[in-house]
Amino acid sequence: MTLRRFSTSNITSGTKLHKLWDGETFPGYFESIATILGTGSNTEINFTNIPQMYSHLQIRGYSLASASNEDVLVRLGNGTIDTGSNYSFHEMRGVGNGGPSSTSFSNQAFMYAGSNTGSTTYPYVFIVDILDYKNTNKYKTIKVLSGTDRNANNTTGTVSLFSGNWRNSSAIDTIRLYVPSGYFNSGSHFALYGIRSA
Amino acid sequence: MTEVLMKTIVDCATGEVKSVPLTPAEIAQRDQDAAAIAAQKAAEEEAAAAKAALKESAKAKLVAGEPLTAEEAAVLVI
Repeated sequence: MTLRRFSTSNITSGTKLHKLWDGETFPGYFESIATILGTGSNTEINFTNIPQMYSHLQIRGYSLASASNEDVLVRLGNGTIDTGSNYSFHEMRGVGNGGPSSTSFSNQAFMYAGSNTGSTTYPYVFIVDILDYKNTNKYKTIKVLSGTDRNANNTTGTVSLFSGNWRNSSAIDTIRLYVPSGYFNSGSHFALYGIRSA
Repeated sequence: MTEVLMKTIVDCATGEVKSVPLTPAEIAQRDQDAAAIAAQKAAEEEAAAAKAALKESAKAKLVAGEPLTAEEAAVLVI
């Protein structure tokens, strides 16, 4: 029989410290941590006290923001969000049916997570991978794949690939997604997942 | 009516979700970020326009059989 530790609670709290594995049910390797919804007035989404029990994190965003061509930005932190110029990013973006363009920026106060169409019906979707988020021996690198389409071939379809770096070796326990103008419309949602190593 | 900017905070350890107004400092930071992004986008557009102009110039010179500059050659060679 195999024992697996599922909780950091102890017996004095009234919660079992260990549970028995039935030998058949697998614990999730890709687990939902939290999901936040757009309210029509929130401009920031903050995940705090992120558990340090996973190997990697992933955010799946579905953004319906009020402002068109407004980017969704991401900041990281340990305890508090780092708003300093400690980020850099590189992007490759294709808009409409034009060729891709690429650019990079150093010493920024944020990284990109996605963009917005300013529509309440055409969302901008993105997936942010934050690898090795609790490793304290290196800076943190993220990768973002995002895009949208509006059934208009030449103008409004966009696909983007971003990489980003936070020059801090602290474990990440807080993440902020935000738009610098406007707000997240109702219908937006942002889900944080934890990925365990096999 | 003045728009009240809110932030949503979820405590992933407890699941508690709360919504609180942005502080004046956070609103100032937000304005600063918006300005930085506008500057970045302007830089991107300027660079894209310059590259497109270089390509057009290189194409025209190729058709006319004229020598290309190093920059024009660079945008044509992958």
